[in-house]
Amino acid sequence: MLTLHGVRKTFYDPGRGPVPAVDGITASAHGGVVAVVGANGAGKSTLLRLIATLLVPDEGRITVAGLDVTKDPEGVRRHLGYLSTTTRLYPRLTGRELLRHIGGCYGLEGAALTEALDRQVVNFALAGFLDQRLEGCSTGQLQRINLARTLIADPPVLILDEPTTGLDLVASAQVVDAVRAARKTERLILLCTHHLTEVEACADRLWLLRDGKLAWDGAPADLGTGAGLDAAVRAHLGLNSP
Amino acid sequence: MIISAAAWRIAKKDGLEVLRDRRTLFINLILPVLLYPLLTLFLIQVVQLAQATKRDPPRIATIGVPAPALRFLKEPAPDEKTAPANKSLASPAENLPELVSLPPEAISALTAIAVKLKTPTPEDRKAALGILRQHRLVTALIVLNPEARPVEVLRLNDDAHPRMDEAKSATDRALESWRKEQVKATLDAAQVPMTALTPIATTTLSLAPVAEAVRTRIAGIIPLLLVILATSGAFFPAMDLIAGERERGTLETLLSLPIRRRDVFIGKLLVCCAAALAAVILNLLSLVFTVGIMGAQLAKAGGGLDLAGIAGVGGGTLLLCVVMLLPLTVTVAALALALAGVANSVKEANNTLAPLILVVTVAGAVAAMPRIEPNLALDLVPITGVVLALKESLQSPHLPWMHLALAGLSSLAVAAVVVTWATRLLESERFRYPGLVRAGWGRWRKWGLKPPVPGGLEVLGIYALAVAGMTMGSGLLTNAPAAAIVVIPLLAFVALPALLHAWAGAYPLSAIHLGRPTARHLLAGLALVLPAIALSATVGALQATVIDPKLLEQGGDKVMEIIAQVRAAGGIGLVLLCVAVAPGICEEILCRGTLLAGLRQGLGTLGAVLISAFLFAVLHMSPWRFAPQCVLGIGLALLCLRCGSIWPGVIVHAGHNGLLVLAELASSGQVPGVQPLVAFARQVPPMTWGFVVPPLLVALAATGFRLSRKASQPGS
Repeated sequence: MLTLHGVRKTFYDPGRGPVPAVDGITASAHGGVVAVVGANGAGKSTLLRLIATLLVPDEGRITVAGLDVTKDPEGVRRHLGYLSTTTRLYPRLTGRELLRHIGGCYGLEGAALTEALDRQVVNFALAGFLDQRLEGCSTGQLQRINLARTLIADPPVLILDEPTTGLDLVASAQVVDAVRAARKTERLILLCTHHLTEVEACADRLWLLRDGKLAWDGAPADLGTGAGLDAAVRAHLGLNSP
Repeated sequence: MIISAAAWRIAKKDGLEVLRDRRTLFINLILPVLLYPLLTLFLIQVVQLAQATKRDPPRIATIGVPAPALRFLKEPAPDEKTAPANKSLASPAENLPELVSLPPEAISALTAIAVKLKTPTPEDRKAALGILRQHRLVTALIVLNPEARPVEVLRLNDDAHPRMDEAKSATDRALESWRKEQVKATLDAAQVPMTALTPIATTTLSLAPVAEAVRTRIAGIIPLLLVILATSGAFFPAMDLIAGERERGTLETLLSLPIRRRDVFIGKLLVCCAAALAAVILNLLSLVFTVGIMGAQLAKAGGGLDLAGIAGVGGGTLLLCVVMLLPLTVTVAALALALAGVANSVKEANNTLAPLILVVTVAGAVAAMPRIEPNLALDLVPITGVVLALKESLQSPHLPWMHLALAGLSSLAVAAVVVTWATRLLESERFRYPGLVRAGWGRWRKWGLKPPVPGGLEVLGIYALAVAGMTMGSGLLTNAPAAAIVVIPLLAFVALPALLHAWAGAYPLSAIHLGRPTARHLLAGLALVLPAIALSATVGALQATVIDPKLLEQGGDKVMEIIAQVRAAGGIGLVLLCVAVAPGICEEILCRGTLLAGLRQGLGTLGAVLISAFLFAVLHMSPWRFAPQCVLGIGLALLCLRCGSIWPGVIVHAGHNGLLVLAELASSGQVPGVQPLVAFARQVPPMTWGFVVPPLLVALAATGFRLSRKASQPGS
């Protein structure tokens, strides 16, 4: 479903010169929830943006559902739902207008669009504020709509880049529940997070990123030692224990 | 450009967003409707308030002025007595000054100054002004000796007084009436009729309505106003739809959807154009309505001006304005979106867009200036050409169709280039993440495409530099030898900027089609010389059927004149060097090298071939050679892309120019040793040529086509 082969992406920083944000990552994933973990600047968001065709790799090859991200970016995006801390919603539209617009962009029309919309309304309990302009919604409500718009076309690959950032405990739990609910065998969910509890709660696999490189690729349980996942991750990332 | 369903979907969403944005809605829709009526209402109210306020008459003192003259200051002039009363204007009695009696000491002081009339010192002036201001006078009229002839009248004015104009008008009128009375008395005494002073009576009858005359005079401003309105109309939506979306974090959401980035841009462009057009149309309607009402009000008020019907421009003219402005609006909207797109926030976008408004205003204002009239060169200049053509349309009783067509076509070409370039911007990650992705340019590039290829915009900049250099730089060489006049601009302004650009951009020669050619490709160039001549000659012949042959001959005469000068200086060899080899190399380096390679990045192959050929033809700045050069340019561009090198095209270009010039010189017996050949050619019956030449040309074209195969891809 997703293959990465020797993927590199370098940015230029006026102070530091060329900075390799993603440095030759090779990996593949075919389903389940893959947690992407790493310190700030490790290259997590860049990697997810590369997969989402928002950035273009300098070197290497990425395929999603068999499609190359550089050769058929529209086709790749048709198989993707992408949510990050920087993907916000149109404040002057209502939730219904937004979901209909997004569904339309994925090619849903007529009864199929209405059915998909109704499904998301039920799944994320949107009925109470669906016809309200988004500028009047709370942060939690906005994130539920954001998740709903990501899932409206039922994409086989879901990219969630820190979906719980800025949310309170209740809203965070709702998002984790939504990720669990969205998990199915034929779907790959890439979940980038700083909260290892979320990794433990829903991840089947863990990608640890360090300085743009893939430092660990395997099941979270295989990484953990007797000290638990938190300590194991810290050890792999070269961080001191608290 | 086909607008896809996805682009319409984006336009619908963005349109809804814009309509719900109070600021954009107010500035683009509500303000235009309200602005002119409100301003006019304010103006009328201020004027009426000022007129309703009773004003003190200007104070005038008289010293030694005889009673008959004083009478004219105390009563209205004879023509004012018969004028119809008007409520809105001051009555004749109110226009009269207040005559002030001065105390004796002031009279003596002013009289003493008046005596020194011929040589007043600064102190005298200061003292007189002091007396005037002490008594709140605007003017003092002093007559020293009423019996003398002519009577000497001295007017002491406080020119800084706000009522000076009224005082001057009143004293002028009174002195003129007094003068007439004196003249009449003298003439009556001599029994000469007053008509002796006016042997010729002239009457001028203005045939055109005042409204029309006023409209013609202000016509120069209207197209400028429309262009500025279109620009400002696109300003706020452009900021909101790209920089605003980036600031609000919705741009990344949009770009993660399965829609082509080009469609996203086109959707936004549609909304920007609609907003700009709405602003133009609403402004125009509001302006026409307001001016119409104002003209009618003035006519009703009987203020001396019949401005009723001033807004009657005519639906056809308005439609023409909108049609001519459409490509310009699209261009400006695309540029506004592109410029707003490099900003991270709306605040930044304000800064990036400000120069656009300035450029548009200056380019339009130049055309709106009096005595600037359209010509073939100015027609091709973006913005200026359109404004000039529209100005001429509004002022002239006949529509300038040729200028309208040229300006319109040029505007369309510019719109096509800008839109094609701009719609690809979102495909560049430098545009999607301007704050994140920085790589430098050219020799200063740190990372990025390898090998680098020039961008569409930068090669257009090099081309603009070449045109500017050819236009302005050639003027510096007017006294130089003819060969220098031809060759130096080509080397300095055409080839050099292109080569410097290639060096600064660190572009490999192959990326700009300057790589080494194969012998096979050079042979292809040789084979295609005659077919190229046949092609351009055919287009030239077709052109002669639609354009006045005299115009074509005039253009040809100028070229032949220069060629004759070059030949006189250095013979046939120098002629071939100047008109064949130098243009062949220099123009190919710019047009098929830099321009074609760069435009191909932005426009794709077809667009690059067509636009580079168009710009190649424009570079010659000769309307009579435009069509043949344009067609030749298409052929040369295709050959260049097929071979991956400009050098076969250089052979075709140089051969084309050289053989045409040689044929022209040979036909007038100026090429030694070819007379027998020319005589033979003339003896062969035309029918025989008809059988031989076309198959020969086809065979050569086919050979050239075949030899030019297996080209390497440029930039690879």
